[in-house]
Amino acid sequence: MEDKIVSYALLFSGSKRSDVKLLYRLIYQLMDSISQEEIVDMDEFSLLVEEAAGKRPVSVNYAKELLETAGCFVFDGKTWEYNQSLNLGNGTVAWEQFQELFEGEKNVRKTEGEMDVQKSAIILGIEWCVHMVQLAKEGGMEGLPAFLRCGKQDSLIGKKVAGTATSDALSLLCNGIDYIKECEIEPEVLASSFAFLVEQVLNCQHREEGWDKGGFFPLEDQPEADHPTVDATCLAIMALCDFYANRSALEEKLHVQVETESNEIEDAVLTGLDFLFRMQQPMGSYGIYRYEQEYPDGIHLDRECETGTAEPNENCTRMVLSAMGVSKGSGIFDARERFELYGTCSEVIQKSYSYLKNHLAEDNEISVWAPYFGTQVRNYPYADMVVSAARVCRSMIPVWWQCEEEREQIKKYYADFLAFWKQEGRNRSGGIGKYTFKTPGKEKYSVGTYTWQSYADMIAAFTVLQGYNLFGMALDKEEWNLLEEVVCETMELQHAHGHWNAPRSSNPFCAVTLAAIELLKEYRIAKGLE
Amino acid sequence: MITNKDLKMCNEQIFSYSAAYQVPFFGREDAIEEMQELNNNLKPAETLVISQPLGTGKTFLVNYMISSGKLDVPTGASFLTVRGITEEPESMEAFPGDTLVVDEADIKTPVKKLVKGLGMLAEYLEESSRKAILLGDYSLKNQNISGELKKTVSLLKFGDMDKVFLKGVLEERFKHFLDLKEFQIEEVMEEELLDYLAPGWMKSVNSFRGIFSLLQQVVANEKYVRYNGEKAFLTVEMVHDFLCNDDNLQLDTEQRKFFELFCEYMKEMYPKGSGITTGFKVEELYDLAKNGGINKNLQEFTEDILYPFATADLLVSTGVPEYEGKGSSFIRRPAPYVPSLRLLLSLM
Repeated sequence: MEDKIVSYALLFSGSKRSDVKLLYRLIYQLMDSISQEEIVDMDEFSLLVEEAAGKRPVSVNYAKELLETAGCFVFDGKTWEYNQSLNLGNGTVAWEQFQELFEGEKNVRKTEGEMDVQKSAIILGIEWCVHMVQLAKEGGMEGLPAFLRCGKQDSLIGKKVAGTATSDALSLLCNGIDYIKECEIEPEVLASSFAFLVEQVLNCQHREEGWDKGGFFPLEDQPEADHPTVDATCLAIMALCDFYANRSALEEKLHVQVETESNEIEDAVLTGLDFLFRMQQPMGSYGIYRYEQEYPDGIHLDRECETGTAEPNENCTRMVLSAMGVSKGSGIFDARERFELYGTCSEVIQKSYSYLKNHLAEDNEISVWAPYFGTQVRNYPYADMVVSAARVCRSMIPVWWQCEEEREQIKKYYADFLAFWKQEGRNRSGGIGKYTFKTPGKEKYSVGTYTWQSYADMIAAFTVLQGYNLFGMALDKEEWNLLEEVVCETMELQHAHGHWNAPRSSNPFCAVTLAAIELLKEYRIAKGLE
Repeated sequence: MITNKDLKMCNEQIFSYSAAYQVPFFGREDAIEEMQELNNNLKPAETLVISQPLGTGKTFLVNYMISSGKLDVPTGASFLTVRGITEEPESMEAFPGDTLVVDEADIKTPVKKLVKGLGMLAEYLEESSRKAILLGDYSLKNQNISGELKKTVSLLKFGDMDKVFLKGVLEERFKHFLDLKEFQIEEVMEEELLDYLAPGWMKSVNSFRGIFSLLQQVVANEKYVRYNGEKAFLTVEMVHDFLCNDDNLQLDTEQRKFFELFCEYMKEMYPKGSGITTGFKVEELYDLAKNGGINKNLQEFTEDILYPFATADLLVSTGVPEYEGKGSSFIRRPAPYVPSLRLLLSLM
């Protein structure tokens, strides 16, 4: 630490705070560019100066002088290079050592009692989530909004509620009970948070009789959606089942009592499942929704129908697989003596799995799932492929338990996915995968699309670790290194407030926070810490 | 009644100037009609060019037209960028449909990549006979940058940022994000503030980014808009005070001197900006500086004061970015200059 401070003092020897700040930003930008092997000529440099200066009017010459005085970078007449002769009082500073000077908090985190770092991160994330829920509750909102604001104190953006954000928050808390014990949250606050989230998730359900009965609305997540959607319904069902299944544990371990009657949750899940049963496409797949008119005879697709038609997509299909599995394991069917639903859900699982098995994309003897069941891997950005394939793989859990004869095949899917993910030469690091979809408007599917973005590596690492934890998937040293790297990167992405942001954004995002916490939990299980 | 709390909660949404939030589309009927016609008549290897200043809504317009089925471009595809084309040329082939959409042909891209990328695009279009829609700023009007693109048609009726348009946009956003059936912008904003935000003489270079980033900052500031149930109302004085107390400006001695000279000159000759037509040339501003005792030669004045002022959004360039070809400098923000909103509002 002392060495570092001395190095900084020698590097940043300006007398004006604003100049020191500017120099810091210039160094950081230049370092970033050079480490990505970009050639920084004066034109590129002028763009870096713009970025670093912000609203301060700084001339390129001034910035150049500032940097040259610091001595860490030199301009040779054509491009900027690192000054290999840089000496900060203790011999020359190699490029790698110089980069380490600016790694700051990353290093602090890494040395902070190694293994427990992930646990601390999970706890912080949960505390943040509860805080946001309380803000929504106190603000009179009927759920969480899609967007949140990170500032001195994090806050909510907008007044409209996002159905899936609310479900995500409930799932996050339900799956973190063992960690919640270590959070500094009063039981009353916890109880009110759970109660609020359960109530608001239930409020997203369509209750009126008819085709849409039982489905859950995405609300502000898809503002144009005039019908409940498959994805929102799956997330809501899974969140409610998580709560239902963990209710006793909440009461015993955390002294959290939520007044919502169990039968209210049971009703919601059962009617939600009915909705999903109706939404299934004849061959076993799912789209974002299914208008009645799309399959007038229930079997054959009318491509000319006025509503437009939903393409089967792998994301909705895999979500339903997961929702079926979670529902079967929730205890709700037993409580209501709806034992036939075990069979119905199993049939949905079987049929969906069948569809998935027959709609893979091939890439050099590897079989993975592509967006919208595409068949050519090369047609899609790598990160989009990773997200699609990882998500489908992770939804194989219900199949694993239901169809023992498929276990070897499932292992192969996981192995293929891992092989695809770690391929050399792929632009792996920092990739953001997109999932694009239309939404069901009042009369027909939207022309425009929505896009969800995810950190591909975060999702991929979870899937691989899940395979390891579930069936002891073999991982070699290189693969463990990859996983460790991703876990490390995930930790670095966490904001000091506890949240993770939406990709390429400074806005906190529940779905990413949930995905990150899931990954860290799975990692801890793999390391034998849970 | 819209309260301060309502406004603060929806600040980033109402005054959004990026694709982060789904904001309602408003206006631009002429642009839409012209674009559809131009696009429908695009010939193989031809490019439809939209060349407008940064932050004026080009990407938003094209996205809207695609998502509402007014342009025959598959939905969901991410636009290509000029820089991206140089780094991954295969992305052009992978773009779905007949018509590529290429964005960011502007001063935010290094000039070498700008020239190279446009050249690669032109070559690819010739080889493939596909078409393209190209979005960029006035860099596209410089032949040394875009000259490789031989077959182009330009969108002419993009539409200016005038007060009527700004009002319409704001009213739609307030109605959408606050769930209001009826709304007039005068309920939350002083009429005079609207006059300042969309002055007639600035309409061809004014941007959503410039206007909305300023309003966002003011609304986010507790000093001006507190998180309470009082009626929200934004005034010129509020914005003026915010700008005058903005710590980010940090001018050096000579810059401060010129800033004060220019402000005095504006107050005297162009109060509230009225009377400004084409903007100020470098020589005019240099004369002002010399007469005010600033001791720099023309080049120093330009590099140390004028260009940084333009980059820091104190002056707005209305010229075409200058580039003479390989080896020459790329002047991203050349004269003529007009005062920015930021400067104008801090003058009163």
